[in-house]
Amino acid sequence: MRRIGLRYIILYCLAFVVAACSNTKDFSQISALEKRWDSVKILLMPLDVELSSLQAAGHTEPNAEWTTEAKALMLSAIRNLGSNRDSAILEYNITQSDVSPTAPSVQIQKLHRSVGQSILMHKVYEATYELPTKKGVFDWSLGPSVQALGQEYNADYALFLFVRDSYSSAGRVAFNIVTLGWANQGGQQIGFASLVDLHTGNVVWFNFLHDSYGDVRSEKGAVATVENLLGEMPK
Amino acid sequence: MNRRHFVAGCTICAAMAGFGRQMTLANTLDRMKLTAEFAPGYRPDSSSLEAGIWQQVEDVERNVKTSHLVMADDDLRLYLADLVCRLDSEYCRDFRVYPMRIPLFNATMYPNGMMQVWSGLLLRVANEAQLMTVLGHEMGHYMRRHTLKHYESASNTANFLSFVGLGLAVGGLGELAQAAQLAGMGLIFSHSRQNEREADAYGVKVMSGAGYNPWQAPKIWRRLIAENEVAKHKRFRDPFYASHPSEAERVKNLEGYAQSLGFSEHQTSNDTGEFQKIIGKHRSMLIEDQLKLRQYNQTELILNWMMEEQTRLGETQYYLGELYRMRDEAGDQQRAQGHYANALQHTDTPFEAHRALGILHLKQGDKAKANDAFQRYLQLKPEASDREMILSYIGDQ
Repeated sequence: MRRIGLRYIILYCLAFVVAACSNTKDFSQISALEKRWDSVKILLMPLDVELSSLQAAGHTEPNAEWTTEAKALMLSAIRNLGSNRDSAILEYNITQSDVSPTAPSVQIQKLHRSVGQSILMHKVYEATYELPTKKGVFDWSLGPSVQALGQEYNADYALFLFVRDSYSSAGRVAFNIVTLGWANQGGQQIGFASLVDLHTGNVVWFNFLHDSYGDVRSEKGAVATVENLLGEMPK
Repeated sequence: MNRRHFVAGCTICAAMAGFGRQMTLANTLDRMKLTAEFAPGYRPDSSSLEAGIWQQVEDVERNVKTSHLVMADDDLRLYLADLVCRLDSEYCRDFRVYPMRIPLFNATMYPNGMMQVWSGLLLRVANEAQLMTVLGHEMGHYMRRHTLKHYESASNTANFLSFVGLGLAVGGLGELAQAAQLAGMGLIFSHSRQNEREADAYGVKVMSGAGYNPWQAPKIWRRLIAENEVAKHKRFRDPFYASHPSEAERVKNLEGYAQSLGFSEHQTSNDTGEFQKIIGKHRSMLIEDQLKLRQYNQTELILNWMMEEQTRLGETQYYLGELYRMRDEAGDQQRAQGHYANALQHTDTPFEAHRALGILHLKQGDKAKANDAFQRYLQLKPEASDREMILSYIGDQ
């Protein structure tokens, strides 16, 4: 059974190499959003968020309650953020068409999952996994088939958010105390925001977040995480 | 080992001497806990680890639901759902069965009730009773919460080992720490093997309970053993990491259960009578996918078993021809030609047999015969998607 792909494992390992701190790293194809109408409409895709507890041995256990709570807190933080911007944020409806393999919106989400992970792997961690064809450029794209989604929602951009957050279990804390911190890390927050132009399919902006202290289980923490992820998004 | 297991162990020794084997296995099946661990319609408590695992798996299921690997055949899906209800009418609404177009022998059970049946398995099961064995086995994994148990066991073992490894490292025994970790890995996988045994027993229990002959269960594994024996690339089987019991062990256990349940080997099953109709609809696709794997030895075996069924002989002969034409080793062209010729004596032969014959004739330099065969193909299938290609073959000559 597939649970966590090799990619995730590598990404988590790489994240642990980074010192305990909060940092973001963004890539952009544009300096400002293209205004085709009076205001820019951004379609917020379903949040890909998962919270887990970090066990003594360093593996994680998913926590459904935390995840559900964090999604709700993040969503309300994004809505508040949206009201402070010129652009309007629309929300994606999970409808019956989502169970059809031919629904373009579903395939676009799957495609973005792959592309987003590739950017994380080969751009954010390019020191280790650089691709020769992506050297010094940021030109990832989902292709023009995303127009179907744009037309369905009458939107200009689609915004994808991905967050994986873990918190030390009692066992992990004990292990760190016994080893005087030798086991190094506590829980980690890794995430990205990705903005896709629904006319061209290009990933026009991508922001990576790594934080040792972020905590989306509280309202304050969720607001801070959303701010870290989306604060620098082109307007 | 507790006293009870010790006694059981000794009983099996006695059985090996040829006495009481039947009784022992009957006891084994009775003694195993083969009932659901929860009520129908169960959902885990939202604060539990189990709920976390379900949430992850629900995400997987959303992807599966919208995958084009799911075989788009409502009759097949309804049939599989109906079979699950025949196995357990109380719990069957907790299962969702997805037939997947993946040409490998496998079925998988996810902890939230999603079950996948792969097309490579549909190709290999010879009758409904065999299919029921597999469905029952997978249901067993769900009812006995095997994923969760495996996860918890792996998690506890991993947690335990990080402390054990630490102690040994501090004591200057770093190498021993490694050995302890390896032993731990063994524990994790052996737990899984135990789950597989339990699921095998569960499968036999419910399929025989629904009136299917349990002697069909070991036959699946017998065929798999035969396939492994002829395979060019032997399946990697590391005794340490293998997550399943060996096929030979499974056959032995399953035959024991069948014997203990009092079925005679040739007793008929209480079939729905739908198997050939529903699965048969996909037969040519299943065979074609298998052929594309280029596992010629295994495919040869599978097609020869199909010949024994004495149905759809034209189609089977055609695919035997395809097998040898694709393999193209010494004597294979003649073999292929023989099978195509044989196929054309039946009425259920795909029109493509003429095209295949044409290609063979062309290879052998017999243009007149090739032309005849190609023309026959286009006469029979004027709307063929490769019509232009075939016309160019004819024109070139």
